[in-house]
Amino acid sequence: MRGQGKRAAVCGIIGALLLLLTGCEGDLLPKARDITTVELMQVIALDKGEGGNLIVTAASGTHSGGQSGEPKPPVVLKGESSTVFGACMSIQSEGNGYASFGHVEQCVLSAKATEQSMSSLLDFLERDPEMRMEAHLYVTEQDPAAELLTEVDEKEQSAAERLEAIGRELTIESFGWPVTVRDFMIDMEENSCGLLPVLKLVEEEKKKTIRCESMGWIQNGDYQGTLPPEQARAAAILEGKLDTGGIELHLSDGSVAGLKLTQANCTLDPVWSGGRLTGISIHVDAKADLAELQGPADLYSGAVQKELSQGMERQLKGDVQELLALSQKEEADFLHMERKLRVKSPAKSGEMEAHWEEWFPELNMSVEVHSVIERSYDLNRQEAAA
Amino acid sequence: MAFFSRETERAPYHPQKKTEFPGELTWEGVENIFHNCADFSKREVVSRSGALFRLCWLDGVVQSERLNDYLIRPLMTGGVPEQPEQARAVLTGSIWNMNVQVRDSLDQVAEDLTGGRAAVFLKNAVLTCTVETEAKRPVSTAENEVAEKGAKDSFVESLRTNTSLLRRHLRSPKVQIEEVSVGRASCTAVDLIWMDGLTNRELVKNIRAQVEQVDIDALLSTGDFETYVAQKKGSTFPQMLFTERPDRFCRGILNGRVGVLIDGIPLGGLLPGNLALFLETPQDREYHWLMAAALVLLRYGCLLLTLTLPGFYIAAASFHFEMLPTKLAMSIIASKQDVPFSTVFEVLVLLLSFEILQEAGLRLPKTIGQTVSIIGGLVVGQAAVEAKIVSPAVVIVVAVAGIAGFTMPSQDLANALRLWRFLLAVLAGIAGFLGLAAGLAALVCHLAGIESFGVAYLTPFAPNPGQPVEEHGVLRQPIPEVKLRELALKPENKRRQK
Repeated sequence: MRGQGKRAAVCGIIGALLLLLTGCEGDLLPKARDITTVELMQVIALDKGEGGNLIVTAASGTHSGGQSGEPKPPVVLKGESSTVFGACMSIQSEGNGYASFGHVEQCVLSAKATEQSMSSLLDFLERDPEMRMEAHLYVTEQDPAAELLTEVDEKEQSAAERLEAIGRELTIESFGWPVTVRDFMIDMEENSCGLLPVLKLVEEEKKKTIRCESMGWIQNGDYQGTLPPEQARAAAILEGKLDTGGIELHLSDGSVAGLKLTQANCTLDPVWSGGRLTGISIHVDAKADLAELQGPADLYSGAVQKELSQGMERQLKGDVQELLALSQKEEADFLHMERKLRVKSPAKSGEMEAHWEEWFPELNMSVEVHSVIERSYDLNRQEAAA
Repeated sequence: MAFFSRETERAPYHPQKKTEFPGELTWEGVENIFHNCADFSKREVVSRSGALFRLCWLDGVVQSERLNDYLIRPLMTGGVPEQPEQARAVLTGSIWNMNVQVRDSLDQVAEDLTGGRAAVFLKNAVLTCTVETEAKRPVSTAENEVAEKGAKDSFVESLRTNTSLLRRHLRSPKVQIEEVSVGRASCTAVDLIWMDGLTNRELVKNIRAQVEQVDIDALLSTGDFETYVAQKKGSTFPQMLFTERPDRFCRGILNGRVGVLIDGIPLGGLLPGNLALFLETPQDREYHWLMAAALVLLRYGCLLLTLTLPGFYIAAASFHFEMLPTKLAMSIIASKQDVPFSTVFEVLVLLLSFEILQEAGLRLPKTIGQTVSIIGGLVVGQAAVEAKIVSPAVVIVVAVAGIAGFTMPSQDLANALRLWRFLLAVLAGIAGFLGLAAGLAALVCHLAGIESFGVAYLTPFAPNPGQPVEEHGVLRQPIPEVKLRELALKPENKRRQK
């Protein structure tokens, strides 16, 4: 019996091996595709094409030269179709190898194409198994958006590398924060609006590069405009996304102070009246270091310190109020007030959910900013005092 | 005619005879047994009283000074006359030997002579006396299990020396040593060692029964023994731990295992074996418990690394490159530029080359072996990378997997992992992570199916019916906290300290 079992097993193995000689390709096993035959796309840009089509431009990063040799420029491929998926598929016929979208970490949307492409892109990103929900999403007023990928000076930094650096450093510059596909989809699902970093193609010393200086506002999938940088900073404070930032204050004696924001905490409290949400009390605690002081102002004077502190409070409060006014005016809760208040008052979460759209435009926003300037680097003055 | 091979008549089984040399025990009978043996020596001795004694022995296995001083001299100078009670008189006074046995069969005498004893034929009896040679390798330091702060002694080929080492470490009279002879031609003494009142008696009984069933020509290597006592013979994973350090051997016995010492083999074996046992080292008890725990964790990590890294690399680079971080994927692409082979082929060939290098290094003398390693590993490896035959990434992957395998305390376990590493790499080449996962699932099933004398191989991870694991799992606890022995071994005395 044991011998028979052994023979049956050998027969089975030989039979399985013979299957390989039949030439039939089964779909049971995944297909191998060696990494060297693949072009790893890292950025895609979406533009509006003719006749309602979408144009997808995909770019890889700079190829290192391998064991020897010089770096090769990034590969940029373009495809057009009525869907993002179709455009990506048409790209496959253009490159030397299989264009893989599994490493796309940045998606750039043309402002003109947002209304048409946003839902298509989000649907594609959601369903495609290769695409990453952690990819960063940007919007640009540059027309076409593909120019960000093709015009940027590759000798300095490819578009993929530049966008990666922007995503990493955005919070340091205080004018925005990186938004992932996942975050933005949640925003669209909850509020039908959200903020995205806005990219620009700028020329610096005869070299074109990409910059991000503010956040753009998307409502119902359509690009509405760019926030001024100060309001973008206010949005970062209200969202708790601010790492650091700079404020320049002009004092009454003509001095100019540079303040480095080091911390900004924001708390929101609902104000209820007769079972109705009538207002939101917003309290911002900001801390800053005095980075630079130019002019005759005496730093050790209490009046100057008070002026600095008040100036900073005034500026931040103004920025926050303007941003809130815009949000209320457009009936767009892109600052996620509802979400935050419902977490704050879980007992009244249902009421807020039911009446938010009705209550939000009429809410009385009370903003309070408290600032502390913690350290001075006025070393000359200290030496003189000594 | 059969499908696979010609039908051949099976060689008949020759059961071992109870009596190899039948017949009456006579001088002529013994001469007949050894008549073709050049080392068979004999002489006649006449005592002062005129009695005739005949002696025989095998040259080389006896020590001539002992034969002369403790046997021939007292017989010649003694005054034992030929009388019916001659044997008793010789036993009580005429032979200066601590171990004298009265023999009554040719089998016994033949076995004694090959075992280093001399036979003395009296008028009415035959005696055999111990005069065996003491020429043997002295106790030296362990070569493969280096002790940093522990005992430096190691087992040698002499069984009695090994049992003496054991007795020096465990002076308790409860240490039991039971001897079984294994091998028709080698008649190798195998000692089973356990602690009375501690080791599970059922375990001892089962192991004894298994050892007694071993019926082979000769027991000359550990494999001759291990294969017979292994409960799952098809497994590449070791099921019996061999150590050259007596302290580790003793610790195993104190945990409730049964020790096995084999004459001629400078290693002590411990049964039953489980995976956690093969990942322990004697040094674990020499370090601080946190350091020891970290090192054991590292070893488990290395086990996974050596098993799966080549397969993981193949799967990631050939099937699922989207799961690699972009920069890593770009580095791999850059390193593979201009290399003409596929990733699977590259990895498998390099794994094979690694095995060839390892084998070549082992077979050659130590100094030449090192040269081969340097030439093979550094020079050829570097040249292959520069010639763009293999990519540096694959060299790194195979080297890391190989080096991680060297951290395994048991060479038998490392060998099993080498085979499975190949299998997993092939499966990853066929179906990517699906293949790798299927291979790992098969491995877990295989390991879960191994049982060594009633102890599951994956003990204490599975099965564990809520028993405290203490230091016997992955993490070692401070020694005062380790109150219990390995409960999976069902020791009669479960507690090891207050």
